[in-house]
Amino acid sequence: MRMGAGERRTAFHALDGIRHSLGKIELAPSHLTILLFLMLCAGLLMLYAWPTDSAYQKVSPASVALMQEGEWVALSGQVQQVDGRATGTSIQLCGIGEGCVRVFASRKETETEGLLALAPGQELRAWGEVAAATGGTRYVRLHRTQVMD
Amino acid sequence: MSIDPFLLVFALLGGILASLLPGLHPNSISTILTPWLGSSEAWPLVLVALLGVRLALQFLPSILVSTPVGQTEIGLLPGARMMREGRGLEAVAVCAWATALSVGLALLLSPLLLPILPALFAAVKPWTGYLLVLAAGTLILAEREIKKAGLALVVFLMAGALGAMALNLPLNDPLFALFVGFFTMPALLMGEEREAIGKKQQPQKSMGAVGKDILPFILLGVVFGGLSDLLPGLSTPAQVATLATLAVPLSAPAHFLALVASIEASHTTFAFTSAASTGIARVGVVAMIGQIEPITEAQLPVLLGVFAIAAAVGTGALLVVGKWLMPRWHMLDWKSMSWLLALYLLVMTGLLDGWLGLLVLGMASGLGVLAWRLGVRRTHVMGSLIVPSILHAFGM
Repeated sequence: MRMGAGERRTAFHALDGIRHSLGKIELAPSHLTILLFLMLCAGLLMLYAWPTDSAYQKVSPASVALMQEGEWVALSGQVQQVDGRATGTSIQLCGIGEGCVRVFASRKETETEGLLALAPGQELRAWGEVAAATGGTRYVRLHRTQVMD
Repeated sequence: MSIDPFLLVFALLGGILASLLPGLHPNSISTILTPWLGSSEAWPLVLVALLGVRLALQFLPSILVSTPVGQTEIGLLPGARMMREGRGLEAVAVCAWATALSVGLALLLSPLLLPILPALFAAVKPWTGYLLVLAAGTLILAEREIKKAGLALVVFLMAGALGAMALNLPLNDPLFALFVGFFTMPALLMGEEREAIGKKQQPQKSMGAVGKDILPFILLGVVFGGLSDLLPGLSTPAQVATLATLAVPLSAPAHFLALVASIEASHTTFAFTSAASTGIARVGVVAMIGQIEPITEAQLPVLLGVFAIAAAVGTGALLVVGKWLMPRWHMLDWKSMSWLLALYLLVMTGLLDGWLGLLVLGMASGLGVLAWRLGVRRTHVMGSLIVPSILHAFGM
């Protein structure tokens, strides 16, 4: 859409207004140094001091049964069984020499076609949140998966 | 996701070295090294560090030798112009200010955008194709003379066909081959750089001082940078900057440079927020990190933290390296340099993308020279990105 002369003038005036209101700000090298120092400090705080309780927690498949509903977990294991269902795909994932956990990808929330092609024995990394099925059994509702070659 | 402080320092230093060499984009580094290092918990953060450092430092090669800078290929035009006027040091300072301020502002705005981005995406998506057609038309008609607009349309469509082809080829970094061809090779072939290199750079009283008149353009750049993350078709800052030149009065190359640099900086910063809230990342490295491990709101502080540190270090390095290099630049033997640079770019393209990449580079170089000969704006080669975006928006 072509701007009319009036609208264009208004846009230019708005820009001039910003220029005018910033008129008293001087851009000296010392200001840039302070800005960079603040960015460094903010970055270090976010990287090393930010609470990361809600981030994915690395766990083994067996320990999911003991976890609280809603906790975000990252786990890896061997695919034992894959079931395609009307609502999504369910995978039985087992750690080496330990227990298993059921991970579930809802058709609504996740791309499930690739998961159906998984074969027993394949190594899978999974990220998701702990959910409780009827009866209180814990399973992992998948956010994302990665097949390890 | 976490990173050891020593590894972080190592990644930042590596990022400085890699950023000074055109062609070693974090996209390429990630493509090559992720199969080996992808399982390390720190690897995504190493990539973020490389991206952040490069964000500022990428402008230096673009100012000095007109090589493309990441996704802001037309950033080389105002920077190289200032270099030719002997204002290379000022161009470096403008890029440093634009990068630092835009990253800072985008970091502050990110928590506010996080909850509203999904709704904004959904609202804009149906109109993307029409907006892009409108934008392309405006870009071509900006030539003003009918004959020139016709020639611009030819260049735009040819670049569009080449872009559509290149983006569908199995190339690691198709944009590098395309934009080295469109901009750098014609400049080397036509001896344009000799003009820049022969010009002694004016000293600055104090490195890092710039006119306050660039501030509005930095603020506008942050707004346009946010828009470039929002519109599915306008995925590169270069496209947004090209369109912005039609709407914003730009009387000086320093203003344009400030606008382009801040679009690039804010676009890259917002890409993390966009990936966490909508799952869509419009920056290659961010998308690759998302494939290694999902980017969630919980991880944003860590990712943005590393990015802020790296952007600050990159900006500092830009000032230091620029201050050292600029006064010495005119002493170089440009004739040998241009051959060496052309050879280096050919080798890099060959290493990255093989003979297919070299083919794309050759065709893009021809088109870049054609635009030059026809006397139309070289920005019309941005059809190489806009045409594929339009085709994609209409499901073609």
